[in-house]
Amino acid sequence: MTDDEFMVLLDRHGADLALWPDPDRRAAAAMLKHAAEARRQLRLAEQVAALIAAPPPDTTRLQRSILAALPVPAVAAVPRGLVASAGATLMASLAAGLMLGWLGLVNDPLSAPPDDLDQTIAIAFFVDESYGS
Amino acid sequence: MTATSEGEDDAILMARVADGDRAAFALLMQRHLGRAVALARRVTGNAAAAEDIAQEAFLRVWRKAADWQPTAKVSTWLWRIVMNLSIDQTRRIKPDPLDSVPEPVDPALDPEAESARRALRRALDAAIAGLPERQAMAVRLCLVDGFSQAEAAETLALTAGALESLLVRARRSLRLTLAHHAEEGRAS
Repeated sequence: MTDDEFMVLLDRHGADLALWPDPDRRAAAAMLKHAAEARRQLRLAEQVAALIAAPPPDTTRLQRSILAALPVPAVAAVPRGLVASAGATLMASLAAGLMLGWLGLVNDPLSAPPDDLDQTIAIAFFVDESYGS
Repeated sequence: MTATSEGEDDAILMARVADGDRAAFALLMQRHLGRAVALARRVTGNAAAAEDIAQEAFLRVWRKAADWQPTAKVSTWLWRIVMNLSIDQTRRIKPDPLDSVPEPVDPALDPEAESARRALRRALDAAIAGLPERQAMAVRLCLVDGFSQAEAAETLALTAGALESLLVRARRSLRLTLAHHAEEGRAS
């Protein structure tokens, strides 16, 4: 690796050799042992990186403030899985009801013959009188 | 509430946030809040506004987590929210004066070394300010605030190659500035 090639890689990958791709890092490490100008340029690049890198802002107080401001989401009250299974159960029961009705396996109480209806009303009155006594 | 591991993927955390998991949300904040504040500060130039923007961005993450589609990275989505809020905010506020943020003093350095370090830092700040706008923004995000190149490219709506090209030119320029400054120091 020549000085110029090293400089190109230094500008592309930055001063931290640990972040360079493996083959480039190995070649650079070998040439740095006997290339004074490359070492000087690497030191300059390291200085630049150290001088301009900002420490991460302290966000401890802000994190607490955000957590305190969180609204309770509607989804948190009822887990999504439960909503999905309840919906599936409702759809299945509706489908079963429609199928039974279509096959005629269930009598429609509103279309019951008049005799049955009279009997039902009589029982209802009887029950009502029993409670009244 | 399930345990949250350090290495858990952001997308998995988002799915848990969508179910109202506050621990997952807190971990997402630990990972990204610092850079969200830094990004908002870069765009608005105002420290107080940057915190408000970061807070609003994370509240939106909480409210909209169920709508998030894993077609983009969580961080990309977040940086976009922060950028949009920041751009809106710049229309309403004035930036802090540049010298209103005191530079931290390193007590380990003697006064002469500290003075030299500050002079170098000022020279580099001036060099960054003199870069073309996109180069300067790439430098601030990647070299100052610690964004990965991929994240910075997505934030600035650039291809990875275009961002790398900006950084290559900027790194060379900053290195030459420092070399020039060092030579001037030796000559005087």
